[in-house]
Amino acid sequence: MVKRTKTISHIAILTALASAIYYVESFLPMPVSVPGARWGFSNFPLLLSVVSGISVTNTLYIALLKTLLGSILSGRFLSPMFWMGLGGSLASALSMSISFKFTNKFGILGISEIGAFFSNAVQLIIASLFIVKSPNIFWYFPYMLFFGILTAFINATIVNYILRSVNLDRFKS
Amino acid sequence: MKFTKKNDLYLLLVVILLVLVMIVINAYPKKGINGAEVYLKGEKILQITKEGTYSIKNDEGELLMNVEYIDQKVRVTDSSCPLKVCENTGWVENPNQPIICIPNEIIVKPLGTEDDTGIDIYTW
Repeated sequence: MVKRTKTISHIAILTALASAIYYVESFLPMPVSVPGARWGFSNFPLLLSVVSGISVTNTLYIALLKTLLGSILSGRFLSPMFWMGLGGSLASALSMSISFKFTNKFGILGISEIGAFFSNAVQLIIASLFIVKSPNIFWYFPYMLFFGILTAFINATIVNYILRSVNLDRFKS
Repeated sequence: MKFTKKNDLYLLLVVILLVLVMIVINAYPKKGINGAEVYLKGEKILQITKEGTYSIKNDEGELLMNVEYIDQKVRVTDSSCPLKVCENTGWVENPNQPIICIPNEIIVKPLGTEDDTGIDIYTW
């Protein structure tokens, strides 16, 4: 029972953090014009939940909930950008969990980069299949990937500092 | 949990290499364009061959954006989308670079003077 409560609070805290960042992030201007792209700082709670060792299902819950809540707050619910964000964050949660659980080869930075790569790839696949219905949108893939690398580095740094100062074993389910 | 392991650096190098290769491939066909096609939600609604400004409207007659085609270059002005990514893209003279407006689901696709090569690269 105590364990369950801890898990629920863990999910709730990280979801609140992520959706708040998702909302604030929509005010940040992008330095290059890439359609549908965002900074993606709201992925750092996901990364934190992956490396603090909570289960894959719970990480996916956080990814789903942060996109739902964040897009309702910023007024993008069910818009094309919402679907791109949902696919991207689910893909990054899944790929980060897999690379953390089943291989012991990557550090925090590597896991973050993997998440960013799959997030960008799935976002563009969703956009090309369902939204603009043209493969030409892959023209923008390298530029999104470049920003993904930068954001992934920043996210990994944030998570690294948090792990240094907070004893996350107490929250482990 | 370590911040970086050796594999992370290899991964980073591979991704950076991929980005550089794709940017070089993207920049390769630098030729002027001789027109543009406008797609709304995957359907072609307008073919631009003459110079001038064209208004793109949806089925209800609401103005979505203006497309300007002058001097073998194409750009979008006055879009109704919130972030104005399509306006900020600016002038486009590379036949492989589409101007995309995600909120309005519009693609402005420039037509090249040569055959459209290299499209296979984007469908992987």
